[in-house]
Amino acid sequence: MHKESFFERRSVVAAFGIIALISGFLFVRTSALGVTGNFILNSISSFNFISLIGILLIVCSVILIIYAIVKKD
Amino acid sequence: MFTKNEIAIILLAGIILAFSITLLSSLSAFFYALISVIIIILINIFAKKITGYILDSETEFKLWEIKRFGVRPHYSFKKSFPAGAFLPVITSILTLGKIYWMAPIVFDVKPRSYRAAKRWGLYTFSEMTEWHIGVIAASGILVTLFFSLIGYLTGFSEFARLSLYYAFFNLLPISSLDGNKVFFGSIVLWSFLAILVLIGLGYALFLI
Repeated sequence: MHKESFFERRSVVAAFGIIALISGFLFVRTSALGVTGNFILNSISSFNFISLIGILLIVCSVILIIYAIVKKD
Repeated sequence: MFTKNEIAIILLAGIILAFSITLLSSLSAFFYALISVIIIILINIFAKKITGYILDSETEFKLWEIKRFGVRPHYSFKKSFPAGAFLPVITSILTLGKIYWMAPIVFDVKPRSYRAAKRWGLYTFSEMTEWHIGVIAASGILVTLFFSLIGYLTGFSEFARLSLYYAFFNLLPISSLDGNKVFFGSIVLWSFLAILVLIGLGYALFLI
């Protein structure tokens, strides 16, 4: 239907997917870095927005990586 | 370039968003938010208008309205609900100003009459394709992100933060927001934009 754009090249998509995956895991882990045990129970709320952003990034990376794998040359 | 109706909508959206961001905590904060929001909206709309012009179409901006709220056809309001005007204020009051909805404006695209005469590779189109509508919507979000980066680098960190919020809420794939248009135009392009916005948002919210 349309010409392949820069954003639809397999290498670009895969690179972006990996960047998103790494940053997603970093964001998910940020909330738990350096804290343990009762500190989490007493100080950190059960809902953490940054973890949600991390999870969303991982979902986006999955979409891109699947696209990069399935895409035909 | 802008119709009177569009200018009125931009001003109205600016006032509503500035109110929901500051909740009138102070007059100087309100005016700073108002100017920032109007600049962000203008940048976004300009980008879409220019992309629309390149793609031989006319973009028309209006307040976001919801008519249907469910999957089945009869799940709809009798009259359109002006969500773009009420949702920012409602979310801001309910969350005590912690979250403010920043997606008040949507757009419609109409093809120009001479669009059918132009070739797009092997094809010609008389109507707008979903890909082209997605590209127009994506251009607005991309330019907003770019100016957010410029704002951050030049020391306007609050402007940068508001730009990121604007991009984030507009990228949600619901109703007739930009995110929905990009999502159905190309899910890959939407994922690219979502990654850029989420990384920026995570950085702005928690790491600065």
